[in-house]
Amino acid sequence: MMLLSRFWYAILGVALAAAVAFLYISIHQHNRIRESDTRLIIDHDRDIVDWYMRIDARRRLDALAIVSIDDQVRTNIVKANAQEKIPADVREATKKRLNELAQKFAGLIKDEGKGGNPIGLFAVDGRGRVVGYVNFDRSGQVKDDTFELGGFPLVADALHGWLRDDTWVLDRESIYRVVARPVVAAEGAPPAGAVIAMRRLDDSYAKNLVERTEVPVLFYVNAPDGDGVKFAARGVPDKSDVSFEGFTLDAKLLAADKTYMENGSSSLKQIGPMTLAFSRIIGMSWESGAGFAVARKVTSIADPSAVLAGADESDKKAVPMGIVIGIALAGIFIGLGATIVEHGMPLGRLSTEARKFSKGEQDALPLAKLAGPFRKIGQDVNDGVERVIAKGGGASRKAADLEQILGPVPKEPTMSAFSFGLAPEPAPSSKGGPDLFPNLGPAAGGAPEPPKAPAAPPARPAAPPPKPAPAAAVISAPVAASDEEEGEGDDATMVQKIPDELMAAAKSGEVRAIESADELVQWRTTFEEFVSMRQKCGEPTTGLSFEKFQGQLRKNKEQLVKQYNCKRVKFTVYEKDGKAALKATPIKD
Amino acid sequence: MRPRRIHVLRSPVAVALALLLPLALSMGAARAGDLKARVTGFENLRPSALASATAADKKLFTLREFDPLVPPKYTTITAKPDKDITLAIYGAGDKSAFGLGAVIRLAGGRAVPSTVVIPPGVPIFLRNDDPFIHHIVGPDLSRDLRPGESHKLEPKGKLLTFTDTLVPSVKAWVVVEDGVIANRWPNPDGTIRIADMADAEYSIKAFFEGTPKSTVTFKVPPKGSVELKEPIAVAPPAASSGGK
Repeated sequence: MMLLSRFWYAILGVALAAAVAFLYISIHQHNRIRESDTRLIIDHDRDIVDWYMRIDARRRLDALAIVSIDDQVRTNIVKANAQEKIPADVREATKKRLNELAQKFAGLIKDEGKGGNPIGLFAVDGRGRVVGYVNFDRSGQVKDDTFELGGFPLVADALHGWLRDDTWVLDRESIYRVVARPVVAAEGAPPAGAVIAMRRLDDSYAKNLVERTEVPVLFYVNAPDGDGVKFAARGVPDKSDVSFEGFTLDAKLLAADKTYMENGSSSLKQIGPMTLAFSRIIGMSWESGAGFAVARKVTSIADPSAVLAGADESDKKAVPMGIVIGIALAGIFIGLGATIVEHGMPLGRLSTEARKFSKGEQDALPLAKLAGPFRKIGQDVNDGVERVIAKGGGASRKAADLEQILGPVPKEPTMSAFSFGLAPEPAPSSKGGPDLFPNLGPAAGGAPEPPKAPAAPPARPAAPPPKPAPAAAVISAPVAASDEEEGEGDDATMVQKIPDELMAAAKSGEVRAIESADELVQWRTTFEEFVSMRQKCGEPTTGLSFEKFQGQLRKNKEQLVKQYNCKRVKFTVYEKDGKAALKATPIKD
Repeated sequence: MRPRRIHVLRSPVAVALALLLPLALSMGAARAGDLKARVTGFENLRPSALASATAADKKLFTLREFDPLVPPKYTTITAKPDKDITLAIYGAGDKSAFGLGAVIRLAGGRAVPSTVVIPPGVPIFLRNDDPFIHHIVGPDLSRDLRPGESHKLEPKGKLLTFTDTLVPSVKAWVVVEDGVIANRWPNPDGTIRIADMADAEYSIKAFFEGTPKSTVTFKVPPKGSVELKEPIAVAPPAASSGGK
């Protein structure tokens, strides 16, 4: 039934379709997971930045201890507390010392002064008045006599013994991370003052953050009474596909986010190719509109062609080539195996049995050894043979060598392959045209009287000449009954009964006439086949006539009958070297 | 739309004059004696701006912890008497004692003083002494004050509250009452000393964030001084103290 091979083709088709389906599913799944992961990553990025700023505040607060315990700073603060107006020398001494401490502070923090604003240090007395300061980027607007910081909650806390951090926003655009410590001058006494460290969030700060976290970050100020969002600092990892160049942010986007306004964390926003999350910065900046954004770009695969286009060498190396090749080889071998099992082997078996059959080693094809459609073929062959046997057997199929039989064939027959060694008949065609049968004389001698009107196809026995006509009408019956004819197809249904005319003819010596008519019909058929073969081989047929043809056949038949002592001669048309040729087969029975 | 700036007072000298002129005028010709008194209870008051800073749920800081070198009794955030407690003096005199008007400085991230009490018709000057911009919002007011800038306004109403949208710790109150001749502020330790007061009867109201907390009445004798035996208590004593 060829189930295996056919089923294998189905498997291959389904597998191919499944592979394509899997590809699309994989792409969609990749994109979906990528998007989901990106959202998780952004949430984590937000936490990372938040924790970085917390840890950073702790580091700065710890480093600020070198200022809060410094003797000179403490002494100057105590001196300031004792005066209604802070003396200038106290201010100068404090400023000088803070400048030295700022460098030490930067050494402890390790990320100060890298192209950005250095750390700002302030010393404040118990009333909140600034005794001294360094590296304050607004020093040009400061008047020493009125410069205070005590009203900020951070400083107020420090003046009450608290360590804490805060974030300030100044002028709607500058963000500062600030930490403060109390300065204790005497044991058991309230703080004499406080020291404050201030770091502006500029690009260098963002760069430091990015170097440690690999998170693209953007600091902004969305002042409640401002005229839009202003960016304070930004930083992007070197290998990131995120860019804040030309990025703009609509303040309404943040104002419309209820979660952002109430809890400080926005939902994820898709702005252009980037997905962003916004968070308000903890501190006094919460009210002032300061925040930071983290961003990621979702990389999705548009279609299957982008899979290979986006793959790098490492991706390609990740393919398990052994498994892939193994699957391919397994598929090939399974397919070939199924074909061999279902096609090759049964065909070989049939071929073997047919060979034995042809050699006479067995009388029929052994159906038990055949399988599938080959068993049916064997059955048909056996049936055909049995039918032939039932008819009495056919003529021998052994081909006769016309050259051996009829003598040498002319080396260059004129425009014809019909060259089976007939005696040269130089007489040209009576028609005057090219004689396609130069070997055939116009009177192919000695033959029985040819029918006068062969024009009508002799296939129909009614058409032939008057005498053989009745015989031709029954020609199939005696042939089938006497096994004289072969290759006529299955005439069994026609053999009903020997016609009375035939029986009468047999009794009256008309058998020869019947045989002649039968032979004439065969020759007519042979002639038509010959003409057809010449046409097929591209040889001219002009001038060919059945009269010449049958005369030549008759002549050859007589020679063969005499030579082989046979009763009949069968002529068969075949192609030889691209030309039509005839084969004569002597039949003794 | 921001209101039109009425007046800009840039000179510190002008500010000093504005503060001292009422004293000179109110004490008039008949200067007699001094007042000594004391304000108590301020340690139990917490300025609202600073109180909000200690509320962790508002996410105003990421870390806040007390220094172990500081005794806990000092870690409570309290009002500053010299900035948060305003003594409004009622008695002989008129509104001309305020001179050009009352001044509220925006300095150090807060308003100094946080409360002023003035008679009707006395203007208020809001002056920015910080090196950064303030944006003051109040009745009929919403404007930026750049460093060194002042804004003059005529208060309308009994109590006016001003806030800062850029520096939330800035809050100021203006109380308008008849009969007020001057404002005074205690020393940082809560003591009060007012010199050269004319012999007359006076009342003092102590205000905190626009609200009167205590009132005392006294008489300054001719050529004599007055020392109030009872302190001016702006808040009842706290049951216990602790760091907050």
